[in-house]
Amino acid sequence: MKKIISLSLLVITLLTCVLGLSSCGFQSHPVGYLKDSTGKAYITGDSTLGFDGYRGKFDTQQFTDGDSAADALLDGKIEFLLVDRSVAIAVLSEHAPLKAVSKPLASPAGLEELVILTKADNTVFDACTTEDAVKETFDGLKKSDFQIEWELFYDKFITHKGYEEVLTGLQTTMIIAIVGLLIGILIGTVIALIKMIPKYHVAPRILSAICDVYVGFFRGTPMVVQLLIGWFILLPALDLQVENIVVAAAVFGMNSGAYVSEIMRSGIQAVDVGQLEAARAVGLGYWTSMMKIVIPQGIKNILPTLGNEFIILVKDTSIVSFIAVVDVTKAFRQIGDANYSYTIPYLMLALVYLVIVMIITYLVKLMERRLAKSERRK
Amino acid sequence: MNAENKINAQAEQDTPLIQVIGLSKRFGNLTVLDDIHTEIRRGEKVAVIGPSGSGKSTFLRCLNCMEDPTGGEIIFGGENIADMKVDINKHRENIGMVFQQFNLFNNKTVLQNIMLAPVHIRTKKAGGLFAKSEIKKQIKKEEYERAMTLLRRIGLEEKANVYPATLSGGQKQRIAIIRALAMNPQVMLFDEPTSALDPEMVGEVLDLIKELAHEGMTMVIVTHEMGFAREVADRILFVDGGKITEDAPPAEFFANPKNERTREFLGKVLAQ
Repeated sequence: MKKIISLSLLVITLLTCVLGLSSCGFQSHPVGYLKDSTGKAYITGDSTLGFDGYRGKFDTQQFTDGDSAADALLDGKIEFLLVDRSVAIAVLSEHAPLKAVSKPLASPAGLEELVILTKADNTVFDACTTEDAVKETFDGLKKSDFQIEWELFYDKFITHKGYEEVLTGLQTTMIIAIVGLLIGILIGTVIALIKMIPKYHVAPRILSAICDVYVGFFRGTPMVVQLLIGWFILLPALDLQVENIVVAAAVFGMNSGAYVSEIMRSGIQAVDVGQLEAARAVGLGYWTSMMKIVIPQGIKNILPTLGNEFIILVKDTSIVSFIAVVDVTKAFRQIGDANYSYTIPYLMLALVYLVIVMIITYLVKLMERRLAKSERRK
Repeated sequence: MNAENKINAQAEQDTPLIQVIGLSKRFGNLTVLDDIHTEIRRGEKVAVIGPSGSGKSTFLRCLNCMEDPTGGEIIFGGENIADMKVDINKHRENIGMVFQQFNLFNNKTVLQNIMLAPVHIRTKKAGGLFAKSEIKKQIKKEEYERAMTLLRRIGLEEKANVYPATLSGGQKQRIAIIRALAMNPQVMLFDEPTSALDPEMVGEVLDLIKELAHEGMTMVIVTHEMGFAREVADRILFVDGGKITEDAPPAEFFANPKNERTREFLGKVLAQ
């Protein structure tokens, strides 16, 4: 137990440090440009003009004329102003405390060179003596890819309340997993019991064969395929009006039942046969003996394995988006889709699953401990 | 009691409690019991002894159909209980069984162990789920009293709410015995009740069985305890190779065994 707490704390601390450290490298050097200028094309990465993509890598601000741009530069609202040579000359002549970076940036044929204007006391480009040096320095001012990803993520996740989608998705994930597990335990127990009935008569043999077909199907096909068949084939065939989340929970439940039946069977058979014999010897029927004596002890045997089954189920729910259910995976994908930025969303998604699994593991250990206590202490 | 009832009662007294007719038990090609004929009379205490693998435990377990006989009949309570179509549970209420490994229900307290079957079976007969709650409460109260009385008899009433895991072997076996007694059986079957016990605890269990014997309980005991068999049994059955080769009261059995095999066995066992 303590291990899990300390492990999860460690993971969270590490990730926070990583994020914290990387955000130390977060920088912002706002660049201004004039409307419909080469400068705009340059800084926004207009590929039709053959510019390298600086798209999204700077905070930018557009201005209608040189004067307002110059004012913004002086006020510190922007740090650099990217203008055509002729505009630069005009601006510099009217606004004294501004200066131009030593070398302009060359533009493709037919366009004026681009001049970088800064406040007079700005030293960023002072060391540059060649155009290449200027280019290099300028390149170094851009935001790191990570910063860009983070800002895009933040924009959707927090500013546009993406976290609400994630929370709803998380709720959906857990509902499907829990309902699926409960159905699975029910079906699994029934199948295990049917398979354990002595096959003296015809009926148990037929039932057992049906169970074999059932288990064979659900263990022999991928869960995705089961979902698709359930939603696109069975549901219309049965002509039911049911939400896709219900179908998802049902399919997961039935799939889980196939695996749980094996778990249950081994758990029940691990109970000493003497328990069943003693119950039968005292006059209790087979089912009563199983219900009151054998199965309760069997379940205690298999709790860790059932916990594992639950963990597998939670992770398997990540495919429900195949039938248009929005779970936590789909929610994070939607977050990524919003700004085409997937790094942070997917990392966070992994982290979410990790934490869920850690919590479940801890709860299972807690339950095991409590059950062991009730048998031993008294 | 008028004449007819008297005659009926006498007839009932005279009919054996359990009749074993042509009992056989095969596991695949292995014949463990071979055409056994015997009967257990009311009030008899029958000890079953024999070498390992002779089939004595199998014989005992066939008497309440823990093992399903592959041939022959077992007449108990007016029916052939070896027949698959017969409801065996009904008859098992009247046959108590005590196992070598005690087999107390691990997930129930001592009290629950003793009360479980009587309460469940009586409640079921009173209507199960639909029984009136006053009747259910009455049943529970009566069985609680009976269980506590039985526990007091063996001096373990303070263990009533304890789980079996904390008990010693001797305590477990004595509780197993009174668990069987709680159903008020007509006959008790003991399958090597002391074989799994430490020597110090064998005595207390044998004492309890002796008490039951003196009170008149019909019993069939598979045992290795020769001294106990000699003291308690009315009859000793010697099982060898799936057949009953000796059937005699203890005095005769130990003094003049008829078969060489029996003498060989007794020689080895009594030498200890």
